[in-house]
Amino acid sequence: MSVGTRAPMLTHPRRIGAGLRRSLPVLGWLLPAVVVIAFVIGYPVIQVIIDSFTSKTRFDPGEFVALENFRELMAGGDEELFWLSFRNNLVLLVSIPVTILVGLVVSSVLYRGIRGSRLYEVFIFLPFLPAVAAISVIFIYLLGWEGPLNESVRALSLEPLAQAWLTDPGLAIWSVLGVVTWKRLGFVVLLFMARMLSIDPDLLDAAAVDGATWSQAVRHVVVPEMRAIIRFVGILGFIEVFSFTFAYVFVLTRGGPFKNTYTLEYLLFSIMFRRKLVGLASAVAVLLLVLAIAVAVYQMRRARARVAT
Amino acid sequence: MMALLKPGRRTNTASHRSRTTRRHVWKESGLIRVVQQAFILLIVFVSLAPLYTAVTTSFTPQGELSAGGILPPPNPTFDNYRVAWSDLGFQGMFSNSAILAVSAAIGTTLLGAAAAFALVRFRFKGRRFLLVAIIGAIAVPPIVIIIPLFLTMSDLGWVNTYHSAILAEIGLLLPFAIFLLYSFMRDLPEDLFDAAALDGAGSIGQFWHVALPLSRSALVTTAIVSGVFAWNELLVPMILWQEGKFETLMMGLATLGPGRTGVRFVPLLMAGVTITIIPLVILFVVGRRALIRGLTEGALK
Repeated sequence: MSVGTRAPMLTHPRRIGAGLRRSLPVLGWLLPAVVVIAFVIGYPVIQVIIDSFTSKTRFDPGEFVALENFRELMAGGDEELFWLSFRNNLVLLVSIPVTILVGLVVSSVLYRGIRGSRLYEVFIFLPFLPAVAAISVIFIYLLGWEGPLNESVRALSLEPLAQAWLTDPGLAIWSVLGVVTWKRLGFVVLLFMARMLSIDPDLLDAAAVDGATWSQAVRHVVVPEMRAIIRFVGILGFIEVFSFTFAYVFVLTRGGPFKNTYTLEYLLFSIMFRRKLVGLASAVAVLLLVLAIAVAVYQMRRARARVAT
Repeated sequence: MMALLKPGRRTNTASHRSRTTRRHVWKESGLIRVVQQAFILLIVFVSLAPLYTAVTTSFTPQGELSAGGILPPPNPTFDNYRVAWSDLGFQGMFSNSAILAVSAAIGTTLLGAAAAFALVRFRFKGRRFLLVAIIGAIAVPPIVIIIPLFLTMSDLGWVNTYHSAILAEIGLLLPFAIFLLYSFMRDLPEDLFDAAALDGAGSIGQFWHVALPLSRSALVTTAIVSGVFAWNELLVPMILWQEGKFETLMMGLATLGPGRTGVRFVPLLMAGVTITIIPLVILFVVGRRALIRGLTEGALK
């Protein structure tokens, strides 16, 4: 993300088209997009920060309560759901190392090329295409007590392995993790393959001449070359786990059983749309926002450092 | 060799040559190769099995469902699709999803192209700030903005109108679209703009006759990626289109899906799921390169 690092026109100021010198017409081009973004993202971000310091509800404008909402969340509040939700988000983070490791193995084998690589690549990408809601409905069926997974396990006489995947309080979040990981793998492989294609083949040839095996070459040549993309995939995973897993939880479990699969997003949703507590929900939103901004700033810094070197 | 990706920075011949030489050079036992292949096959199986099961189940007559079978149904039927389409309401949901996806794709691409053009062709105060703010907006989680957005739209009386969810979707997609189009237009040769300017073209002429035609591939990419994201979106329409007549496919699946694992209902549900995937598969087949480019662009910059 090296946006803004190049400013071609400043270096050729006299090239600016004759009619474009005044800054007024620029408004006409920018205004529609800027207004929409301000309405949908800019203003709500400011409003949600303000609301997080109030006792506002759906039916009552509320009053300024300083950090009371945050204190209530941290203290566990009435239902102790904040820390449970946070813990569940941490569980979902496990998908990051898993997709990176499996993704590296898969993409390095596919990159080297085996028979059918071309087709396998498309197959592995496919789960990324459908909506989370559609995937989740498929897995509700697959993971059901009498669903295909348990039936296959029983058919193999491994009865004890049959589980209540989505309805066992301790297991459910791990099943959600499985679905998240399953869906994200194809995207990670796609990004890794894209990056691998731009590795200088001479580096690999040199390793081969030195008598390295392919797996040694991957470890010592390919992976170091891919450090930036691996970090990016990690950060993307982090953002996804905290900001884009609502639909998984909503469709797969509705936060259940007994609220055991609540995540921060789902907690926010539930506080806002079931309990109608705008102030408290906004406090959750602010925490998510702080996390997202911290991660984005970190990535932009690293990206800029990489461009600079 | 690469089905999804075109080698970008190297020529085809170079990569082909290095690939073929490499294949003979590595010291490696046949066993390791076999293990690697087996691993890939396992991953392919795990990736495909759920989708395969969904599709075969959608062709299974209601009541004939036998879980765990990997064979196609012995008496395949289209009945599930017919029932889902007309009786379960997937027809109406399909058109709502299509309205959302197409409007979001067109709106996002048009507004994004205009904004990207301005950022590339104009120097003005606050330009850098605007760029950073737009890139930063990509990171804002949708769930964070949904509370104030819902309250504002309620106050305006916009909840349960077509434009509410479309506007919200465009707003959420625009920062990414502007980033994508800006990165592309920045690299267009300036001389072409200048030549148009010399010919008397104003900013509108330069936009219409230079920027848009030259950015066609990036515009297609933006439209496809925006459309796919809007088609797959659950949260935004769920909050802003609460009335039944606005129900989208994803809302329908989220309502019908949970808790109905009966052998009679599952084939209908899988037909519904497949209906939501078919347009994506068609788009993937037709516009694969554009889609992949859109998804990988940001990561490789």
